[in-house]
Formats: sequence, C-alpha cells, structure tokens
Amino acid sequence: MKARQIYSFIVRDLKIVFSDKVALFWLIAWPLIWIFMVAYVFIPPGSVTPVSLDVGVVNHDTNTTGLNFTSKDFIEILSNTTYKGGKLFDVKEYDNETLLVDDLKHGRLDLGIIIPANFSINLTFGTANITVLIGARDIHSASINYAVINAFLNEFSRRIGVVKAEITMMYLEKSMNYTGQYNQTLSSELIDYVRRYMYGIAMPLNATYKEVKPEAYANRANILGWYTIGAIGMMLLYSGFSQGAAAMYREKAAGTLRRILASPVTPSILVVSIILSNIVILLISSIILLITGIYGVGAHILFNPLNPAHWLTPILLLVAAYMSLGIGIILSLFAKSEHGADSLGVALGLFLAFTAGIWFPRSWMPQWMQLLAEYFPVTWTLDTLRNIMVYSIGLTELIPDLLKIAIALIVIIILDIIIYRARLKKYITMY
Amino acid sequence: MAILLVKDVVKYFDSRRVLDSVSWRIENPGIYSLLGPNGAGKTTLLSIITGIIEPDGGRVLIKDSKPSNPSTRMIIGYCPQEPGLIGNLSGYDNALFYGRLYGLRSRDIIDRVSKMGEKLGLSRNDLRMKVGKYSGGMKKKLALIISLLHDPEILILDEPTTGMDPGVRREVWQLLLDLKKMSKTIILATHYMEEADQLSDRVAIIDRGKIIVEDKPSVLKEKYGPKTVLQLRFENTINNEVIGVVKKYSDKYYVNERIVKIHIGEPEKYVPELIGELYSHGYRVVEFKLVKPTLEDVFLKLTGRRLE
Ligand SMILES: Nc1ncnc2c1ncn2[C@@H]1O[C@H](COP(=O)(O)OP(=O)(O)OP(=O)(O)O)[C@@H](O)[C@H]1O
Ligand SMILES: [Mg+2]
Repeated sequence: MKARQIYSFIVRDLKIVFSDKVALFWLIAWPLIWIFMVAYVFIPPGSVTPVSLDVGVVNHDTNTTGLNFTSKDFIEILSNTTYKGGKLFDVKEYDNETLLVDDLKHGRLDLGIIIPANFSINLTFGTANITVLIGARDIHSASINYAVINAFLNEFSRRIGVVKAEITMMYLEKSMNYTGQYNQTLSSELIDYVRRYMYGIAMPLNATYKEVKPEAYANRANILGWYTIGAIGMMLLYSGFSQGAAAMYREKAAGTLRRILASPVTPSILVVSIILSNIVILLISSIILLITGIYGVGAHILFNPLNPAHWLTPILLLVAAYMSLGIGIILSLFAKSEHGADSLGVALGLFLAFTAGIWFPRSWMPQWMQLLAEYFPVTWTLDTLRNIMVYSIGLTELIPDLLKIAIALIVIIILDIIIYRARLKKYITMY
Repeated sequence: MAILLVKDVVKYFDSRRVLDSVSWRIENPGIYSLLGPNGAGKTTLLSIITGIIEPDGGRVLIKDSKPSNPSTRMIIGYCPQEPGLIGNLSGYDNALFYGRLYGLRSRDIIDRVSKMGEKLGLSRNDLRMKVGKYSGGMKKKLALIISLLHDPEILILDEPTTGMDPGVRREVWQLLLDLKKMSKTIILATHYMEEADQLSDRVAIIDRGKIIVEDKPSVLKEKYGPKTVLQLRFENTINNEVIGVVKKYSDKYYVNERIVKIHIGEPEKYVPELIGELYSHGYRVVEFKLVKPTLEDVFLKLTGRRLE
C-alpha cells in the first residue's frame, strides 16, 4: 500500500513535468544550452590544440654556395618546426616585399620575414640581420605572434652559436694537436677547458620547458566533461532548491493536499513521496544531460561497470539530488508562500551554481568567495563526481572526500527530519 | 455504534473561535445535510471529521475509531469544496493519482471513472482532456467521481453542486439518492436550502460555529418555521421604499428581485393593510399568496439573518 502510494506520486509528478514545457525547459533545455555554449562558443573545437601561424618570407639572399648556414636552411628549419605534433609555422615564399606587406595588412598573414642579401655569408662569418614584420588578426594575436617568432629566433640563433662553437673547436683542435707534440697532457686539458668555454659563449643558459598545466585544461574533452557535470550541478541546485522549498506550499495552494490528507496517506509518507518523486525527476534530467554531454558535444565522461569506483557515480548523483532538495526544505523555513519559496530556491540555486565552483571554476572567484566552494557540500559531491567520471581518480584517493560528503548528507537529513517534525507536519495538518 | 460521533468539538483559528462546542451524531445510513451560510464553519467541521485537521477540543469518532486512522480513511470518500484537481493532467490521470493512494489498481480506476462519468455526462473524450480545460461544472463532476473511486461507505461532500447548472445538479442529486439506496452514509455541507430540504433525511443547521438545530426537515419546518409566510410579487425590482413599508409589519422578511417573503402573524388582519399601504405609495402587487415555510424560513426565524 505504502509503495503504491509513493508510486502514485512519482507517476503523477513525472506526467506533470513531461507535459509542462516550462518545467522541461529548466530541467533540460537550460542546462543543455550552457553545455553547448561551452562546447561551441567558449571552447570551440580546435581551440585547445596548438595554433599555427602563417608566415610570409621574402628572400633577397642569392649567394649561398659553399657556406655552412644558408638562408635556405633557415627557411627549412622555420617550415619544419613543430609544437605538440603540429607545424608551428605555415611558410609561404614571396617575390617582393610589397606583396608581403599587402597580405599582412589584410590580415592574411601573421608574420612576415625579410631576409636581406648576404644573409648566409653574415650568418656564417659574423652576425646576420633579419627583419620581422608582426601582423595581427585580432586584438590579442600581435603579442602572441611576437612571442612565438621571438622564441623561435632566439632558439635558432642559440643553435647556430653551438654549431659555430663546434666548428671553431674543430679548427682549434687541429692546430693544438700540431703544436701539442711538445706537451700532450696539458693540451688535452686545455682543449676540454676551451670547449666548455666556447659552448658557454654560444649557449650561456640552457632552459628546459615542461608543461605542468592540469590535464583538465589541456584537453577539450575533459573541459567539456567538467562543464557537463557543472551543468548537472547547476540544474540540481536551482530545481532541487526550489522544489524542496516550494513543493509543500504548492500542494496546499493547488488544493491537492486536502484530498491527499483525507486519503490513507500519512504526512510522513507524503513527504517521502514528494522527495522521491523529485529525486526521480532530477536523476532523469541528469542522465539526459550526461548522455547529451557525451554524445552531443564529445565530453570525456567515463563509466566502466567493472571499476567499483564508477559505481559511486549513481550514488553520488542521488546524494547530490537529495542534498539540493534537502537544502531546499531548509530554505522553506524562510518563505511563506509557494511563489516566495520558488523564487528563493531558484535565485539561491543559481547564485551558488555560479559562485561555489559548480558552473564556473572556483579559481575564477575572488579569494573570499572561494570559501563558498570550500564549504558547500554539493560542490564536494560534484567535484568527486568529476574526479571519478572525468579524471578517473581511484577509490582510495576519494575516501576523504567521500567521508566529508557522507557527514554532510547525514547532517542535512537530520535537519530535514527536525524541520519536518517541528514545522512541516504542523503546516501540512493546519488548514 | 454510531457511524459518526462528534462531541463538543472546538476549533480556533488565530484565537478566533470558529467551531463552538459542536456535537453531532449519525446513527444510520442516509443523507445528512449541514446547512449554513458562508463562514458558518461547515468546511472546518468537515475537515475535522475527515481528520485533515485536529480539533482544539472535543473528539470525533467514525465507527468508533479516529478519523486519522488510515483504515478509517479507507471507508471515507471526501470531496472538498475546491476540487483539488491537477490542471496539467487529464481527467483519467487525476483519477489514477488519487485512486492509487487507496491502493486501487489502474484498470479498476479507469473502469470506474468511465462508468460514473457516463452517468454524470463526462465522456471518455472529456476524461482524456487536461483538467485545466474543464468548465467549473465538469471539474465538480470529476471531483465527485474521484471521491467515489474506492466505493466508500461514508461520503463527505463539501458543497458538491455549487456552480453546477440546475440540470446537472438534479443528476448529482439522483446519484446521491442511488448511493443512499446502497446503504451509504452521505454527509453534505450546503448552503442551498432546497438541496438540504429535498435530499436529506436529517438536517443540521449551523451558524457562527454552532449547530443550532438538528432534525428531519419536515420537523424543523413545523417546529421552528413561522406559522405563515406571505409572498408578494411586484411589477418592478424591489427598492428601499418598499422595504421600509414591509419593515413596519415584520422584521423577518427576505427579498429576491421582485419577490418578497414576509413572516407575518394574523395574515387575515395585516395582509390587506400592507397591500393597501404599498398601493398608496404607488407600488402595485402583482400577486400575493401564503406559502409553506422552507428551511430558509427556519433559518431566518432562528437567527434573524438570511441563509444565502
Ligand atoms: N485556515 C484558516 N485560517 C484562519 N481562519 C480560517 C481558516 N479557515 C477558515 N477560517 C475561518 O473560519 C470560519 C469558518 O470557515 P469555513 O470555511 O469553515 O466556513 P464555511 O461554512 O465552509 O463557509 P463557505 O460556505 O463559505 O464555504 C470563517 O470565518 C473563516 O474565515
Ligand atoms: Mg466551506
């Protein structure tokens, strides 16, 4: 009988939600809009893969025969430089400067390079000059273009320096060996010393670069996974808060509460039914968002039934849904009507979704506001979901967070029971 | 064992006494009316009888058990004054929702709704429609049907025919009489004295939170009704000057457009005098007759106020 009563509420509320366009909009369309915005507006495809710059080159240097370094070598190195598996420069040769400048001015090129006559000779025997024209296609690109070509030229001249040192050493060794018949031991120490010194001139500093950005931000699929869970969290917050706060007021306002109370449904079954039916709705919406995230925008979200940690996902989704509703029930204390409770729930839910590390990364928030994310149990739950589903972090690493979540859940349940006993039950049975 | 026992029930709303030591006892199946004007406390009393709210004093027993007891609720069908239907759902879906709360099976619910709908003129197509698109009368019908889904022994109806047109009202009355034949007990709050008069086995008249009298309608009229009621019909709508004249003869009267009813003693003496005085003021009485007192007259006599 009790099961049938609860079932009746669940069926009723599903039917109501699925025939109500406004409810569907908030449960499904609105969070989906945000997922698609992230996928195609804020982080469009290809935006996280490395850029490639279009470079135009005019080469006035014709005299290259018999030299160690030539302008042709320079252009070839430029063309073959790669970054993260893609070519960094797309090189196009121009016959004269006018055409090159014209293309730069029209935004068809990012960079122009003019190689003067005798470049190769100067590069081999002295210092070569080169002119770089920095183009721009949008407000940020000029500085990026400058930084990239500057880094390339520095690296290039450094490597030339090393090769030059090498060649100098070769000549030096030959001449030292010739005089070395008088003092062999001294000369080999001297050669080592001079070699290190020469290398030092060519390459005074040897920096190594390593990328230590978190995996999350390096990979578009992971970012979309992060945001898909964020969208679910946002939906859970505003829907759960407002439903939790307003459901009972709504039942009374619609006059359904009288009939329900005259039926064999007890107040406690009523409250349990309303919570369960809302959880079912929130979970259905979450699953739709997950599936659209995975198949609609290619979010990286894992579920492997053989991995026990992954079985925490449905449980954590359930916990997040209950927490939102349970906090909504606490919010009902601060409202006096269906409308007031509904507005309070939506407003606070959206506010926390945007500020507590659920939709926007918490690092975007000012320091004091990051405390919200630090102490908000729904954020803990969603971050743990992200750790499991997006970053596949193992069970043992999750245990401290799971404990925090369990404690928060128990506190919310206890508060809800207190509110039910002290207020809700009275409200239900007071006409 | 009484079907219904209400003993010294008291109810306050915000320190205002809305029910004042109400007692009511129903022994046998039949139709029982609770007749009273707006705000008399009918809905409040029915809410206490159905166990929706608790009284602040006194007690209610239904077949010797408390109304809040789930097994007692299984034998009660309640149709609230506001239908309590969900506008976004179809008639069938509303019935399914409420029927399941009583443990009924979906197929049985659909069957019963369809059958009773036919009786009251709600077609299957109507029942497939969203209730939000129903007229007030359709909603009332569906609300009544829903309270009958689990075939309750005791039916508690709060103004079931308000807002229905007279034809449909008679169909509902017929349904109630049919239910009475099946030995059901029907408790009916109403402010239509006709409804109480024609349907009920007994009537309890409630005013300002008190049941002032309770008996068979015929006995009430005989015992508490005036000896004679004069009914005058005028050419035009009645104005204050007419009422001023009427007041001289009796302070117990009521007006309905062109008709005024007056409780009047010694009619053979006063009626010609009254008509003459009205005539001298230029008001022509089209028709006059002495009529039998109704429950409305009983209420007027007992409280000095009108029922509706
Ligand atoms: N929840 C409430 N809070 C405060 N006062 C209330 C409440 N419900 C009813 N009342 C008051 O109690 C009195 C009795 O109300 P009730 O609804 O029982 O009257 P009623 O006889 O059913 O009237 P009607 O014919 O208009 O339905 C009224 O004065 C009403 O204003
Ligand atoms: Mg009422």
